[in-house]
Amino acid sequence: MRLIRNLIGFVLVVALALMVLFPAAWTLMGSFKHLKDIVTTEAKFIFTPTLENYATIFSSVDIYKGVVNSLIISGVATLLGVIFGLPAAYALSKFKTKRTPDIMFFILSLRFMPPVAIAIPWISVWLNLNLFDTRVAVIVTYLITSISTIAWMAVAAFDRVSPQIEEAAYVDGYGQYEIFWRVSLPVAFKSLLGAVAYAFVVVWNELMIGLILTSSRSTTLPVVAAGYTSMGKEIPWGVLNAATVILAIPPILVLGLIAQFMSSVFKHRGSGVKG
Amino acid sequence: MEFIHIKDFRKIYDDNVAVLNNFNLDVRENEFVVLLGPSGCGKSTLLRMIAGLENITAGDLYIAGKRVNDARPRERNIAMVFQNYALYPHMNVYDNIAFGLRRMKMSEGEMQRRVEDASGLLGISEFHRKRPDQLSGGQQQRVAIARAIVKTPQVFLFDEPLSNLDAKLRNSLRGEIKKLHIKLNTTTIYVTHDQLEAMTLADRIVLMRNGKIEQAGTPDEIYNKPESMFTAGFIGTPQINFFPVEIQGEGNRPVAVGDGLRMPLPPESFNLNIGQKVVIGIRPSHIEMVGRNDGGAVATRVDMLENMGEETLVSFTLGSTPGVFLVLSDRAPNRSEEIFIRFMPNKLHVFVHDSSVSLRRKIG
Ligand SMILES: Nc1ncnc2c1ncn2[C@@H]1O[C@H](COP(=O)(O)OP(=O)(O)O)[C@@H](O)[C@H]1O
Ligand SMILES: [Mg+2]
Repeated sequence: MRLIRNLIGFVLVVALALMVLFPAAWTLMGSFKHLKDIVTTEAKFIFTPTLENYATIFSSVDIYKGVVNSLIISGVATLLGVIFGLPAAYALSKFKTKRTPDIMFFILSLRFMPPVAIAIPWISVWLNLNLFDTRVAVIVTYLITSISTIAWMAVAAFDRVSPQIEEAAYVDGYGQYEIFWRVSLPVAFKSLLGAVAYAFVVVWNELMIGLILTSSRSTTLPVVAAGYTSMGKEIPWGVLNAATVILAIPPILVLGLIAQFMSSVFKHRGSGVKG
Repeated sequence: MEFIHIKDFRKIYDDNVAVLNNFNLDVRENEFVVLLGPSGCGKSTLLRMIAGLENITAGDLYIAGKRVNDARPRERNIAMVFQNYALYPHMNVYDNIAFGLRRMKMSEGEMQRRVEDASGLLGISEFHRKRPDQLSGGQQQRVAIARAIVKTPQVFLFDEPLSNLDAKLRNSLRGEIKKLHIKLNTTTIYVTHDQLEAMTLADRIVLMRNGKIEQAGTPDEIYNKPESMFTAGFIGTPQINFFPVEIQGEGNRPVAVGDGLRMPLPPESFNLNIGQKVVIGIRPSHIEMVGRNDGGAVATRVDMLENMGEETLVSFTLGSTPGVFLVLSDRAPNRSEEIFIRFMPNKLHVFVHDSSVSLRRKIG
């Protein structure tokens, strides 16, 4: 019985993994194929690999610009999200009032808004300020996302820092700010790293706002990559695959951090105390 | 002279219910005071107000003659040990102990010497490089105690430090806390709901109930002269027996008459009135088996026997009221056997039936 159950479980997990991994693997393979190996009627697993797609990308001014823009915009938006989001989250976690759930819901609700609804009003703002299609404009707009994402997740991280530990530090003679820097922040660090990584990925992957608020100078990588899909029949599939691979690298790199956040948030609260 | 002076303490949390009201307590220098009481009676609240972790709604707090109502914990010169250890999980044991000293800006050498001393006292020197989560609960609490004593504070505050440990560890660490107090002689306030901890550790027990002091006194006073049924019932295991009776006169001697029970009471010990309804209290170790014709003998039957090793706990019923007593195991009766028992007269407690206040005469 048990063997059969385990077997079914194993098969299901493998099937799920294949479903998720196959397109990813196919894309990765495609990025190393010549176009003629891609545009065939039967799927080719054996082919002569080429780096020409990557060469195209790295010699393409558009893509190079997209990578730089994406790194700067996502990086700065995440950094500012940390600077504003973490103190806000700490205050929300440690000084709870009757209004705290409402404030938390408000922060979460910022993430409900469709990107188009956020972006369209900002077009006129940035046009009027003469900042349309600048990195500053895109960064400031993304702050809505990065601050709310980081603040929301960091509240959960700070909630799990036991109040007794902070009280012990208070009795040990430390003030509120020292306790934040020397105790709460380092104790919550691993979970916070996950929150920050997640916010970075959300901003990095964002397409719609980038599409609306940029036209050429400040286009982000997803916008550039999306541009290839509108080239009619002459879609350079190999290049597109290579662009996707590059686009996916940062999120995959930070995936470990996000997983750490997830597992620490869902782990039992009483951890760290042994009987 | 009192070292900690608590005057008319009042505590109201956000929900507007007074947890403490007109609470007064003095603690002498070097004294070990245990705040004992059931969960929710306000022990932790009181301790945290003394520590400076909870603000004082009204009243005054003096430590060493100085009013410290608005002082931060570090200005009160106290150290505290928490129930859940509250070690800094991101620091190793050495840094945990040294953390408070770092704030005092003392030299590395002095700090190291002090940390070594404190760890030596608690037997945790070998763990200096370990993280708290690599230690057992008992070891973690030793670290927490070392962290408290290393600062050489004027006052130690303990909030149920042994409650998260298993029975065996609890006993051994309790002994060490006692030894530590004998050695360091620091004024200590210790919170617990465990009457055995209170009895074994305290110079003075302050028994609390619903935010008020039910009775304060030495363990001996609390155990032998409880002023209320609550105190009598809270202290001692197995629990004290209570039997409701009425006082009747027999000649000039008062006699307690109840369901299946009739015994003379010593009039010199209690303020008794004929016709009064009272409750007799007698501890399980103060009931003895006697012969049928001995004075004060009461007939009953053995309901159940619980062998506890050296002694056996015998259950019986008088009328409809159940009771228990302890007897040396080699003299234990048999189940269902008819026996005669006697309540030791000088160990009796008598309480008013309605108010549950003791009727013991105050001497002097
Ligand atoms: N932070 C708080 N806010 C509101 N009520 C509290 C708070 N802390 C304790 N209480 C209430 O005060 C009472 C006494 O609690 P406490 O001092 O923790 O009791 P004990 O330590 O004796 O178990 C309880 O009824 C508890 O619910
Ligand atoms: Mg408590």
